Amino acid sequence: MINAAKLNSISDDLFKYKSANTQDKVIKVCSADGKNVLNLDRDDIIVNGRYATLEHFGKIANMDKDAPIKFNSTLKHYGNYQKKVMQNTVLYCAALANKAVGLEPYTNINDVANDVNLYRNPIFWHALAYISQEVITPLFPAVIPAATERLVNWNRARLGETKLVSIKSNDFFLFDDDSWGSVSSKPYQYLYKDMIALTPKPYTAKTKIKWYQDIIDGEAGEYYAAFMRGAYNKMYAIMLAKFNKAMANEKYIPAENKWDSFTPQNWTDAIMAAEALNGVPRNQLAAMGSLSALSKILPTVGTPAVAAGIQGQIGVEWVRNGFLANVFGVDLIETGLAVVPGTQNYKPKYIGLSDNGQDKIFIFAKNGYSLMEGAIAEGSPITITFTPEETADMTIDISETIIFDIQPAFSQKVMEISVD
Amino acid sequence: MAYIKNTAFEVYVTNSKRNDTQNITGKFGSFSGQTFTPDVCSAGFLCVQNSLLPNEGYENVVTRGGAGTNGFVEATGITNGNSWYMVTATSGNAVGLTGDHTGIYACNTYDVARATLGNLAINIPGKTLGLSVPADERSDFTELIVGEQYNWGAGNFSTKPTTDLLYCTIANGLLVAQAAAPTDGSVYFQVMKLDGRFTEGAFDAGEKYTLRCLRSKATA
Repeated sequence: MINAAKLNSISDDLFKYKSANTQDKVIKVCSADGKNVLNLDRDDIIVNGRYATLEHFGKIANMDKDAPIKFNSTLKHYGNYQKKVMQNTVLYCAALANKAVGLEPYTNINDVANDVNLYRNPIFWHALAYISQEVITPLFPAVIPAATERLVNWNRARLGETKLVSIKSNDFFLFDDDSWGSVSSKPYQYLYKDMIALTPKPYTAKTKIKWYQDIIDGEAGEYYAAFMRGAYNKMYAIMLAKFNKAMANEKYIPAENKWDSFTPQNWTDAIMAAEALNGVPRNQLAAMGSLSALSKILPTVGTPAVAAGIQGQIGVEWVRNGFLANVFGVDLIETGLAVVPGTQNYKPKYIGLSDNGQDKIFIFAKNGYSLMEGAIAEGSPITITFTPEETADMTIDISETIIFDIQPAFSQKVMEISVD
Repeated sequence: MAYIKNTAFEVYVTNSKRNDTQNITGKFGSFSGQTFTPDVCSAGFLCVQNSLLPNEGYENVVTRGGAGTNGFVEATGITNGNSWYMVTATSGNAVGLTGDHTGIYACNTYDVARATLGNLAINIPGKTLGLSVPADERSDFTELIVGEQYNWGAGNFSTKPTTDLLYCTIANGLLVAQAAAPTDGSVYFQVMKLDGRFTEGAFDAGEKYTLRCLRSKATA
């Protein structure tokens, strides 16, 4: 699920990219009579690649006609722009490849398409791989599902090294009842830190794309998005899997922090416990769950229980929104399902905040310590390589690797309410 | 399998750059029924594939219960395409592989050294020879290909080669030097060099044996 608000708020800095002034940063393309027909500027190509990708995701976000926040597109001719960006990117890479063997840059995409040698040219592919990496890497956080940001505090770790995150003790001292002459006799108390080791690990997708269909005739946004969607789905899946595994571990969430049903009494008990254990007022708490789970947080009164005010104000909000935005001072936050790649067309499988099909709500402190710690490799967390010379069928092998790690921290206390 | 001292593995003569699948990802351990118990794997320890690893993040998934059923129910997760549970190679016989591919893999991590402290696994870059893989961590396993040569440390042998024992078979993940090649169609090794030494930093790091991977011809 693409968050349009997040796309709208992407920093302008990403679109003011300026690299060092290298020799081939700008390649002038001239026609046969020597007139300059095109300037291929690598910085512009990267910036436009980012715009094209952003527009592609924005278009997906805007498919939701009823979404309260729309993506603010700046394009009038989406299709033309996407094609143009891809063509300029391919022309630039082709120009670099031609230059290495003393040829003039091609002036149009048809010349590139007709040069079948280019498809095997490593300079062409290296240039495209590096541009792809530079387009994708800074955009990646913007399309990671919101829940990932809520739950994970991201760190950077040097490649091959472990990032150690210290978890401070949340213990505090117990005062003994004393008498004037016995102060020295009291027991010692200690504070101990814990530590989490985050070692970014590689996750790789090896794929094939086709020369004519995807490179020559491709759209930039679609091309870059293909790299990003699987990667963020994997990151989201691992985050959810680690979260769910941690929630089943008494170390992170003891049985006393779990409630097996929603009632107004259980809700208030869970809120009070979360306030006390995390040292925050309840307006600093949030409850996270699926739409199905959140829709069941509906206060009832009396015997037999009836939904409080269901015919009135909260009934309207509940029906329109699917759940109440705030219950007893605690904000409710929806987390969606993600589909498991490859299953979307037949017996779809999903991953969500609960891994056994049960509806669960998790109450946590919005401003507290993070529930999960993550580390992304410094430098190139996303690496892309193309190896066309290895294939005999005009396809291009692509290896895309993302490098990260996520571990549960739970240095704040979470309450779990099962609402099935 | 606890860490074995003096284990090391080097690919010595190979065509691996033309073999994309010679190095595969795996997690070492043992199975009791369907239950996998992860374990430490020493460098060069010999393993075979068991089954595909669950795809991390997609192990536990939900699906619709089907027609007439409401809500979501637990479903089987998806597995990786070519990342494996690796278990000890008990012998040189790998079922279903009779050509150059042996189906026998040596633990050959390309990761940096890792130390464990309680439940923490911490990378310590720098050391590169004879690295073991901590339990429950993914690593690389290199398939032994007929005709290629590999170097092993002394710890990888349950019986070390001598001038009289110049052939090696496989037993329980280790190499066993023998006087003659087997005749049962299994994978074995011919000892090419007996007197090699590993160098680590500025120091001698123990014996190094160069072995050539071969497949025996079964006698009628």
